[in-house]
Amino acid sequence: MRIVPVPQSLDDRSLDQLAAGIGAWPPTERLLVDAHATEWASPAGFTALLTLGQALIEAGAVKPRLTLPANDHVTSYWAKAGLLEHAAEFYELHGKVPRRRADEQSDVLVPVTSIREPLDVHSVIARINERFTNILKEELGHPASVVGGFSQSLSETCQNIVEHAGTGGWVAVHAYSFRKRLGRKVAVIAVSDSGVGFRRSLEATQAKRFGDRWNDGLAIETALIHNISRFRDPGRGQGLLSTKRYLARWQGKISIRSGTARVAIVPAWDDEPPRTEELPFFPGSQVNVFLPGPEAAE
Amino acid sequence: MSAVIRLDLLLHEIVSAAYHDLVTRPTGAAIRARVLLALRDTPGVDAALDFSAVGVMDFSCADEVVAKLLADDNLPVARVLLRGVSEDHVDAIQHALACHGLAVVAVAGNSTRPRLLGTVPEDGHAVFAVLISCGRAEALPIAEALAWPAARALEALQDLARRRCVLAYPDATFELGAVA
Repeated sequence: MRIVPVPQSLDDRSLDQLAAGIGAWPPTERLLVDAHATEWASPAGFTALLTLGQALIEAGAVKPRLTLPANDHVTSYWAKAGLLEHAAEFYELHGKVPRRRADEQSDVLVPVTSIREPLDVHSVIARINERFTNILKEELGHPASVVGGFSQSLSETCQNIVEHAGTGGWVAVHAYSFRKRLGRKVAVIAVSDSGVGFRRSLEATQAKRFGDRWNDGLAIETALIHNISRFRDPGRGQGLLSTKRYLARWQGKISIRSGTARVAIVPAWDDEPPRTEELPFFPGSQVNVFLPGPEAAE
Repeated sequence: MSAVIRLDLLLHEIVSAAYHDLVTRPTGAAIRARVLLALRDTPGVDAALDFSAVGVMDFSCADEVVAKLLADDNLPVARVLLRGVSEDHVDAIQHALACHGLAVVAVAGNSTRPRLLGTVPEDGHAVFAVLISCGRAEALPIAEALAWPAARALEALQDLARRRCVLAYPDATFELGAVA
């Protein structure tokens, strides 16, 4: 059995450490995903853990084990965030599983939710309620007009799964403090799927232009920077563009990881490189959208 | 004659009465198909899509419901109007129309004043604003109001008529028509 350590703090960046522990894909040994020392996970971490489990099952691997965090408070939060409700489907869980079910209190705006079909996107958007609006307005300090664009961005990122992944995926939305990078709260949308990834999704229509250079990084750039979709219809590929325009207005950030690369549109408050390649492979695609409070722009 | 189509009611037929958001491309495509059926059943000069009870509309749905409807060569009405639109709807619709080079007349939920959305040259916006206040008119009085040569106003009005944003009559007059 191969032990895959989960970082102490699992988010969109430290996901690379988790991916490094997996080794070659698909793994030949059964995996033990070890989160016993994990103290915190972002929505990107939750959705990635489910994606890993789902991808292993879809690849025909033996159901992996997931050792839950030793800290009861952390495990309780994982239950509240909706992770444990779904994790048992893809992992053999080890550790004390709290009875607490997913809820929408505190900083969990949308608990981890499965996205398989358009109706699931309707369901997620319908959860954007008064409390959700109040958090964006009162805790992040945004005007009411920010909510509509946030909902549109959430819908468009969820639709990437339905339209392109070829399998189901996951979404979660939290608002939490970016103490180190920003010093204030940020609303984060994390969407992850175990599907074909950007490179394979765009290969049939785009790879020829790039020849041998075609890889994960170029594929993500083609979609994210050049707004190109595998569909030739002029309205296609514009969902990401409308999300980018919205984020530009509020100094937000979007990053996409797929396969072995990550491409980000990075605002001044963050230090992530715009394109990172030769990362350890992680299945499917992970899209993360970050909306900081407006003070961050000053 | 104007057919008024409440998009929230079509949405309830397609997905569920619990939802009031126009999101996802398949939902948008299904709504457009229902709109086209409704228009064929009630042919008229105008059709008004009523957004008053619609919550969120994402870009994909704006593209399917509004842009592709306007781009349909077999549209059984002379003109499509949008009413009850919010600023968030406007954002999505503007973006969708710009991708296709289309334009439409819209009225906000809290207003009776029509506005042009989408790809319209500056001259088009100028003659549209004058036409709102003067009703049915030839190009000349509109040109005079703008201190333009008549040919410039005529060209802008004809362009708006081609985009199905104003009504053009055989007597060389133009009219915004009923929009509220």
